[in-house]
Amino acid sequence: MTAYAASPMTDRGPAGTMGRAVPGDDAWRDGRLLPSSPAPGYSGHRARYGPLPTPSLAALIAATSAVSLVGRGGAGFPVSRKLSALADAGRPPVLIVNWCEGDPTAVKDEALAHRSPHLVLDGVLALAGAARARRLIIACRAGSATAGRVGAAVAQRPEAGRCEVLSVPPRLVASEASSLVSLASGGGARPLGRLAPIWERGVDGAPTMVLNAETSAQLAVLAMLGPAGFATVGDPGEPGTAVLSVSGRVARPGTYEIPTGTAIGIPLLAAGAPGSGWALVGGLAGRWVEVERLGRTAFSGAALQAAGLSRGVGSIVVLGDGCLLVETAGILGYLARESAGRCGPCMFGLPAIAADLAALVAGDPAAPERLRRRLPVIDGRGGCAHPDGAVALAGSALAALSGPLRGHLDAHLRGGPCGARPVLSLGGS
Amino acid sequence: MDAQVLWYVSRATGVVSLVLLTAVMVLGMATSGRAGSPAAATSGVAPAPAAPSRFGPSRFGLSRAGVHRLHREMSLVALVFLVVHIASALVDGYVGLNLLDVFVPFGADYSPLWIGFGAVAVDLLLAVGVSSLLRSRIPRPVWRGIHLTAYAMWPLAVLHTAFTAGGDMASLWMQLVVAANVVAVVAAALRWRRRDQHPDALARRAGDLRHLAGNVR
Amino acid sequence: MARTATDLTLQWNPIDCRAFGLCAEELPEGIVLDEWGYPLLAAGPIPVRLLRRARAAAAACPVLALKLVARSRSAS
Ligand code: HEM
Ligand code: SF4
Repeated sequence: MTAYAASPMTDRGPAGTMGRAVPGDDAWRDGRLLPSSPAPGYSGHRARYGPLPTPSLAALIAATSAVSLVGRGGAGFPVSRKLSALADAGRPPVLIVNWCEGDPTAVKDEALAHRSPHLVLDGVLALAGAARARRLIIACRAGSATAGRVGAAVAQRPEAGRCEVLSVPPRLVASEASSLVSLASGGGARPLGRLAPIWERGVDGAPTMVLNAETSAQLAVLAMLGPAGFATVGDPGEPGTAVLSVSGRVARPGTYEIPTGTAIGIPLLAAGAPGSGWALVGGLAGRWVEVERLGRTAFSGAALQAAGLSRGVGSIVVLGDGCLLVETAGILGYLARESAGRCGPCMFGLPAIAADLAALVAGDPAAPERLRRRLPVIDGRGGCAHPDGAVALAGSALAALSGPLRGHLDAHLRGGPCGARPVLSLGGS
Repeated sequence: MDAQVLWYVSRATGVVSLVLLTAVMVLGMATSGRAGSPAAATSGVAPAPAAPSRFGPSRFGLSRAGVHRLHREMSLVALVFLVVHIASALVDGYVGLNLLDVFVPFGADYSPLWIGFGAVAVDLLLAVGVSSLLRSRIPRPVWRGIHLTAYAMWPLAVLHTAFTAGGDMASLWMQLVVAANVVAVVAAALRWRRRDQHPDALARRAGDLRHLAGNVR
Repeated sequence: MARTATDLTLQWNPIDCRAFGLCAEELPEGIVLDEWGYPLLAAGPIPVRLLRRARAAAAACPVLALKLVARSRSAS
């Protein structure tokens, strides 16, 4: 069967039993980023993986381009393009590792902090050396378990003096890239807008690159194995592995590292997901898809795109017997509360469409029309992508409800709430 | 003879400056609190995007944008008259002012207190004017803080007018002009000055509070 | 052939915008306001015949949230 490594989230007992991911070197025997037995401490890490790689920036650009590595934080931007922008800027950059786990449907940052903190640090440190970074910032959510683990890992390293650990307020948009730039420059953790690219003028006016924690770990693996070694697993078009967070109505929620190109049904099976119903792919800014169809879809950028999906933050929420409409309304309410409150279309638009969805749950027949009118007005009109994600999610729900779930929508329109409880429990302030 | 002409020029441009500044103040206050800005209809319906006909009340027969534009442009005209007013007074020499007295208050030989008020008003006016011209480089709260010193500038300009122009103030027309200016500004302040309660302002304040709370947690 | 489009466009900064709505008064052909009072801009380059009023729209903004920029710079 297809080889992959499964590792249920932190402290949930032994790793999944489903075999090994990566052929070759012993160090990579059972999972690249999430080994079932983490190397003990920094010395254990070095003993297992060898010395910290010291590639040149040009070599990293070539390698990331050869394996088509894309960022794992949500936007899915090619890493080689970001690195080229740093090279073009020609000034010492600031590097930020985004280890904040902003999206509540993802748990991979926590898993990485638990199982491979030093691999994440290796990636950004290798890049810092290659790009002659002037500052290296590790951003973690204030007070989280991850922050504690990361702080401890940093302290073990000889490079500890180079790393600044930045404490980020526990709000969704606080870990948006330009929010981190603002916070690291001494401002508030709120977006700065999209008009001035951070890779030209970011922290302290220096070119800045924000790497998701998984991206940094992938970069470390790539620097250690080289493009050929990196590409021994996964989809040839976009090789390597990816970390999925699977949650919702499943027996074994957690993180699953899979080779890219793996049919998503395999980790779903490992997680004990039901074979039918709907799932949310990519995080709160994601898209709804039927589990059956999702199971047949390969986890790669191209295959996801062909299915109308994107990898987003790499999470899958399985709805089970939940209601897609109730769930979407709950998420929109959360996203509206989490607006950073800087842009009109976001601070008024998101509450408006959240209210429309709540009205739809209650059976308001005019709600779909209001949503159809409002969604395009909000799309793309914020200072960050927060409202765009909310619009995409609401649009995807609307498509499902006017297509395959038409019958369920009609039931809402006739009888109001269906009584389903939300699958996700979202706090928010 | 020339000296006499300058003296008249100075007095006349002084009065015109005050009237223009009053007009600028009134126009500024007419925009206060985002007067007439279209705002969220709080009902559940999603109206189609607004046409200009939904815009709020126009004032002085002008569109709101027209009021703003007149405010900006008239302030520059006022500055020109003020420069002529000051330059002619300096060149005239009758009251023995020097350049320093224009900017540094209370040092003048002639009527130091009232000339001094004029000097402070000039300083504030320059600050308001220059900061407005450099608006794109100045953070908005700073610009706005400086701009609001106009409310201190204007009374000083009135006092300067009323008490420096001792001779002219004896005449009824001058008393009427000054009184009319005061009435205009006080009326505009009572009628139009208000705290900004536009939904955007309220939502922004709420967002700022949430943001601060998030940082404390 | 006479040029009908400039290579300029209006760039809106949603973080600075305070819904004054003056821009839409100055350039109703190119700007309408959404239901909350924030401007929706017509896409594409500014036609030559509207350039003067597009400039006025940018100048009208009390918070300078609207700028006239070269098209190449705004594409990102
Ligand atoms: C130099 C003489 C000026 C004076 C005495 C003056 C005075 C004022 C006053 C009293 C207000 C009302 C403030 C309030 O209470 O809300 C105001 C508003 C305003 N002024 Fe001026 N102003 C001057 C010049 C300018 C210039 C040169 C500009 C622009 C380039 C300008 C732009 C504005 C704007 C945009 C507002 C509305 C501000 C807001 O609502 O936030 N002003 N001004
Ligand atoms: S779009 Fe929303 S979350 Fe993003 S900066 Fe604007 S108000 Fe904040």
